Amino acid sequence: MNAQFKKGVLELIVLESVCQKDMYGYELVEEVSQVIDVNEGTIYPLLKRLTNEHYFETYLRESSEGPPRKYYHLTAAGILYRDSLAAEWEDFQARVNRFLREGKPHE
Amino acid sequence: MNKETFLAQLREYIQVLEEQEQEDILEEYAQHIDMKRQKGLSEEEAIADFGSIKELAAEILEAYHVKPEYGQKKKMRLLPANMTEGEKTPQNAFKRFVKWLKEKGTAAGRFLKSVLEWTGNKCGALAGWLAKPFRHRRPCSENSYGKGDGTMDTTDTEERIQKTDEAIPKTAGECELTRYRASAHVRKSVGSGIRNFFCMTGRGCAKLWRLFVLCALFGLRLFWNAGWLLLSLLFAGFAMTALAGVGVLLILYFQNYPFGGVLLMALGAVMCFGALSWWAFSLLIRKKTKQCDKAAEDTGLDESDRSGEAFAG
Repeated sequence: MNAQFKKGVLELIVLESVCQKDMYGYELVEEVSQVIDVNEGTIYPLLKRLTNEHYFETYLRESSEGPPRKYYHLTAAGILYRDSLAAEWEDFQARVNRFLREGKPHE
Repeated sequence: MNKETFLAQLREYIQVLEEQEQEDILEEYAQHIDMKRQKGLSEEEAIADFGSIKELAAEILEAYHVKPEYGQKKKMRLLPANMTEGEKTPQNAFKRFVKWLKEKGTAAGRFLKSVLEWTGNKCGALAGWLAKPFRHRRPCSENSYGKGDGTMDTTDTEERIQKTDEAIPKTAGECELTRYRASAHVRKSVGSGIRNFFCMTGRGCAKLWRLFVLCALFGLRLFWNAGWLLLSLLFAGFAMTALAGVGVLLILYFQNYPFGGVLLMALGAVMCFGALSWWAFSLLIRKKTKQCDKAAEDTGLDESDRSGEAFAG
């Protein structure tokens, strides 16, 4: 998949994943990797940015498999942001699809 | 690359961030590697999945709104923490000096211009006032503007009407008004002429001053660069000579001549002059490049890309 596409949509996928349930970093990376093939390292800076912008808040939870894990939780601002991004995405992809459908006969 | 090396390298790149933030980030990556190992992957494989460490660090720094290339600079050469970025190099100091000089030059030019304009205005007013007694005063008599009974000699004034577009005064009061207007016109034209002259002179002086400042700055920069370039070449020449000496001494040393100490000295001279040459070369002031933009392009996308605007592009 085009790297630009991935970059653009990554934020929405991450927000949507955390919206469904609180997740820790590695779990989130795995979740996102099921949707798009993305460099694992790029998720953490994104999580950090979204946390700094107060769309996520974090908390530690004990784990039986090792050290405590940092979980990400979507804040109210994050939910609003996720909704606005989703609406933008719907509108955007509808426009592009319409254009592609209308453009096909001319090709 | 093992986990410790990876984390150490990453730490070097993100040293600009607060200690707590660094720990936070590194812990995330360490945990990620550990989990990958639990899944059966080796450390190397887990680290390889992160891609280029430099790009990864750039993305982390971008998340903190820090210029990605700052991390790279920090890795290359750590500078005292109490210095800000703008204070670190002699080039920056020179640039600040040039900027200061430009600002002061512009301010001085503006001041000179305003002083000359003010002088022009005052001189114009003074000249108008001084010219007042010598102005041509045409009496309001029968032969000129009108007759004794207050009526005008229209044949004489027709040309004036066309020129000044003024109404013909028909009474003594109107005649006086016309005379006042004529004198005011003379005063105004003399005053404005002088004022314009001074204003133009002021503007010209300001432009000349600005040109002078620009030329001076250009000359200064040229002089600075030429000096350091010459010095750099000189040191490079010394270094090359020392290198040649090292070669000769090395041969002699292997032929059992007692030149061990001299050889070491020559090696030291090569390194010393090489470093001096590089130092002098690094002080050259170059024009701004688009390294920042390029670095940003290399490392990934900007904010707009992240927020989905990449599609719109």
